[in-house]
This record gives sequence, structure tokens and C-alpha cells, in this order.
Amino acid sequence: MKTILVLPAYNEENYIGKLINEAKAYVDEIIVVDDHSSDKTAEKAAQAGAIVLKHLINLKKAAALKTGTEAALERKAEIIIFMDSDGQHLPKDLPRFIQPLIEEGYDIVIGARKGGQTMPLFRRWGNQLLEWAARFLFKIKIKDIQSGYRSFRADCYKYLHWQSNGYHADAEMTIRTGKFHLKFKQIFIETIYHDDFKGMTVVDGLYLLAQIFLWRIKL
Amino acid sequence: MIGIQIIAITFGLVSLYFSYYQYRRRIFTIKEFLFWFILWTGFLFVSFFPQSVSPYIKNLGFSRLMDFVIVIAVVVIFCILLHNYLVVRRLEHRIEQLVRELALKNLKVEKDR
Repeated sequence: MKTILVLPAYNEENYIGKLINEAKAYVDEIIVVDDHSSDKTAEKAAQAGAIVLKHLINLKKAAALKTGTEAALERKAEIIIFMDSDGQHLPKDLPRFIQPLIEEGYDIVIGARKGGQTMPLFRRWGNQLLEWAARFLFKIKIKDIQSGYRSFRADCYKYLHWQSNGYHADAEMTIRTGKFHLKFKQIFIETIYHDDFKGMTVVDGLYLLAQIFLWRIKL
Repeated sequence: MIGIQIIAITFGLVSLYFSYYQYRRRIFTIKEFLFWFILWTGFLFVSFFPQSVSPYIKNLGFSRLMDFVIVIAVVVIFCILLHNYLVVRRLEHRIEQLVRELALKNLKVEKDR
């Protein structure tokens, strides 16, 4: 099955090359969506052998994932994998995201970050709160609803097709997984935090919490 | 004529001129210009002759004209706010579509080479 890794990237020149070089061994193709970085992210990704798509302005992660997914579908992907480009996810985990889709018939595999000491405190509490909200409102038991490391069968995109902006796309995909009763598997993954100031802020987290309540009405 | 009337009339006249100016520059269509023309003319009329609307204001439960003006102003501001929000959202969506389509177009160009 053709497997394509999609990496949304914004100013990740320090990690992107190494990440692509390590991930190449596990997937057929890698698509990097450069979300108007001001550094050499696109050049480094291209040098490492990825297909690079460039956004002319910064549209944030959700749009970058959409562009990457549509490009992957264009290139006849059967399995699509998302991973963050900041080096927090380990490429060695990739086979664990692919195997359940091929051999065990799952539609989507979601990587749950271990909420141990490696995860910043606020992020751990925030994740816990969001997990309770998703469990209470959508009856889905997923430890980390907004993990950026996940894989899915390409034909499930029509169900997962997210409308959110920014970092909320990951959470919306999880919610849609529950809503459309997709067969999902949760696997625990290691994460390395290089930069506490990247990713979601506390305000983003509160906004996402409100959004989960709204999805209960809208979806 | 009291001070507040002078301020309101000056504001109304400037706004009326500004609407006309936008129309002459072809930024406003005739429909848009007519909308703003009616709005500012009505505003000027009430500013000149505040007593003319007093009976209606009493019926609506307002004791003073100024209370009525403030309430109407707040309602209008909220309407404009909602309108602007919707326009911005629509524009954001269109820009996102455009930027994403351009990125994907480059992929197709490279594939065809």
C-alpha cells in the first residue's frame, strides 16, 4: 500500500532535514507543506528528498495538513500519515502507525503522547481536560485527542475532512473519528519537547474546549 | 441650536460627503451610495429637527431623544460588526482556498515535467 507522510512545517530548518532522512526508510513518499517559513525549511526539506509545497502566506497547521492530504491523494496515497515537523515525534514509531491499518483493518491510528514528566505541566493538565470533554460529549476514550502524530486510510478522508483552523484540526479529526464510528487504535508514543513556546497556548486550549462543545451541536 | 446638534450635523455632512466621494471614486455602487445617502440624510434630519421624532420616541418608551440615539447607534454598530466579521471570514476562506490551490498547482506542474 502506498504510504505518504505529510509534514506541515513552519520555520523548522533545525529539524526538518534530519526528520526526513530518518523517516524515508519507513514510507514511500514524504510531502512537506512549507507554511510560508522565513527560514530555510523548504530548501532543507527539498535537499533531504521530500516533495515540497509552499503556501504563499502563513495559513497555519490545519490548512497545511489539508494541502498535504490533497497532494497525497493526488499522488495516489492509500495510507496518509501526519507528523509534527519540530522533531517531537520519532520516525522509528512509523511502522506502528502503518501496520494496524494494513494488517488489523483499522481506519485510523492516533498516537497518544505519554503525559509523564517530559510533557510540560500546563499541556498535561490541558490535555486531561480536553480528554474528559471529548469522553463526556462524544463517548470516545482517547488519551490525547490533539496529538499531531496519526495515520489513516486515504478513503477515510471524506469523514475526517476538518473545517477548523490552526491547531484544532487534530482534535476535530479525533472528534470526527468518534462521530462517524471509524475504527481507531490508540498507541502510546514518545515525544521530545524542544521548544515550550511552540504549539498551543493556554488561550488556544480554552478556545478548543469551547470548540468541542460547539462540535457537539454542529457535527 | 445646541452644541450637540452642531456636532451631529457636522458629522452627518462629513459622512454624507465621504459617501459621495466613495461613489465618485467607484468604490461604492449606486445601491451602496443610496443606502448611505438615506441613512445620513435621515440622521441630518433628526439632528436638525429633534422634536419631529419626539412622539415616536415616547411611544417606544424612551424619555429623551439622546437615549434613543444611543440605543440605535449601539444596534447599528453591532450590525456593522457582524457584517464585517462575516466579510472577513469569507475573505479568509477565499484566500486560504487560493493559496492552497496555488501550492497544489505547483505539484501538478512538477509532476507533468
